[in-house]
Amino acid sequence: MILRPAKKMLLNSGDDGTRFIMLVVVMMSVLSTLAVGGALTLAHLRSTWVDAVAGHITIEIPASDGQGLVRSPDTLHEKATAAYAALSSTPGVTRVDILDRRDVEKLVSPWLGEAVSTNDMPLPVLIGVTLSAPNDEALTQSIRSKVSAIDPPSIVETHQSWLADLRRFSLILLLAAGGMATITIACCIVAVAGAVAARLSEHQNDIDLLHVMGATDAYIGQEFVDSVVRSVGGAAVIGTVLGLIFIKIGAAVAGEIQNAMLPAMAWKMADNLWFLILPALVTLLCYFAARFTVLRSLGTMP
Amino acid sequence: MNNAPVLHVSALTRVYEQAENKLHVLNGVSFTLAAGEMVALMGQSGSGKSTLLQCVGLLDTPTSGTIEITGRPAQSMDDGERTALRRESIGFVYQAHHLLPEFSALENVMLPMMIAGQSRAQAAERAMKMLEAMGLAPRAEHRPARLSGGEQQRVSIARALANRPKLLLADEPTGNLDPDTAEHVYRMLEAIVRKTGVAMLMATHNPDLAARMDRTLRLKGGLIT
Repeated sequence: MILRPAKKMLLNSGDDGTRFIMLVVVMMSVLSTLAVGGALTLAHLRSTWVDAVAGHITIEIPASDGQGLVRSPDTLHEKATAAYAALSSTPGVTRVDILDRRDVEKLVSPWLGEAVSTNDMPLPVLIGVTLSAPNDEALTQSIRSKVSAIDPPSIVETHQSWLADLRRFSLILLLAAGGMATITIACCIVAVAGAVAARLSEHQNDIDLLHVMGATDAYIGQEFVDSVVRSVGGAAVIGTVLGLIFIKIGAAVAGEIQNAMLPAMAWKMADNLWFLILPALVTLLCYFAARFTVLRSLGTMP
Repeated sequence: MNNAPVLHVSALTRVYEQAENKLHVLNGVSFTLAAGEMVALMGQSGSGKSTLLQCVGLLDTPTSGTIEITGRPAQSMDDGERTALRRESIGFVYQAHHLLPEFSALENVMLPMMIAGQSRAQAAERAMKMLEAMGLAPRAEHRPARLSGGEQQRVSIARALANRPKLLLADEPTGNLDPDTAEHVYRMLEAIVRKTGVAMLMATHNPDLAARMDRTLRLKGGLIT
């Protein structure tokens, strides 16, 4: 036997209205979980992309000199070797790689098409430099000076412009995902508050009767709110678990795409805390919304 | 009979203000009710019987006057104290049974005790004893919709007495019942009053019923005549 007045009056599990509101909470929790999962994935990808680019400099030794004359392979090799030696001995530089001609051909071939042969085409020499500190301006300037001294037309590309665009773009995506999660949770809260208000109105005679029996507003309110916490909490947990299952399925389906185009998606252990926090947050916010609605409604009853 | 005053009402007025009009429902009602006393409250419809019961039951605030229940002046109490006094000392029986439809008969009787802070087990034990006393033990798990009118009213009487009140307020408790059932319910109420010493104020339109009680208060023009 159960004797929780509000449970039966407000959120009777067999009631259509209650089933509907629980379904809404489950669906909203699924959407919130997907949004949070998306935000975490984006944050991880953003970090991966930025880390991959931020600590790297690409040096291009042009195929032609400053006057438009094509340099010989020997000249390019000589310049590249000198640059390699200078950069390798520079403190703060952890790695220097000269891309061979075949790698450079692979890089330019998508733009030239298969019909065009690059065998006799003058191609620049590209040198990849890895720094120990990604944003060391002094080191970057030192590298510019050394490269310029070896070969004035050479270009030192720090990828800052691309990096700034990447940061801006990923931030917009992050904000969109966060906004979606926030709006979804807000919809959930509004739905629960509306359901509570409707139930209070529907059961006004019963509430009057509880008052007659000596129940205070606080007692009735607490009973209602407790039932909200139990029911909404359960629905939020179910929704979060379902959302995580969808994410897992999505990750499995997208596995090949990740391998081909994207850095590996992997959340940190700490990121999983969000999926514990999410149902608790939904429940807590619904608790406050229900409590506010109940006490305000009871206060206006005669 | 114990003659200690359970209810003392003095110069009670209740005025309802509607826009610029003032409706004087009670105009200085005074009376006393002793423990174990059964008093009928009679008057035409609209004479203020229900308003008086609401005020005495601390469900409505009188415009002026005093109400003392078991010697405790209600007018000086805040809302919480009035609610506590109502919970501890007053039971209500209405013309309509006013049972919660989603609860069983047993749960309906348990409710006031649980609101008063008793454990579920304690409340269930006493509620079952009360239903047994009312001859309703076999119907304890039935919801109100499956009970007859007389059974519903007996459940509501059991609920009203659940917290051992000192004052029982009844508003036409037999008004909706057929004569035989009404007689049965009245006898039950009378037996309870005589046995427990609870004071009962019963609003009724039935002069025969009123004549069987200890005395009758007649309400007319907002005054006891």
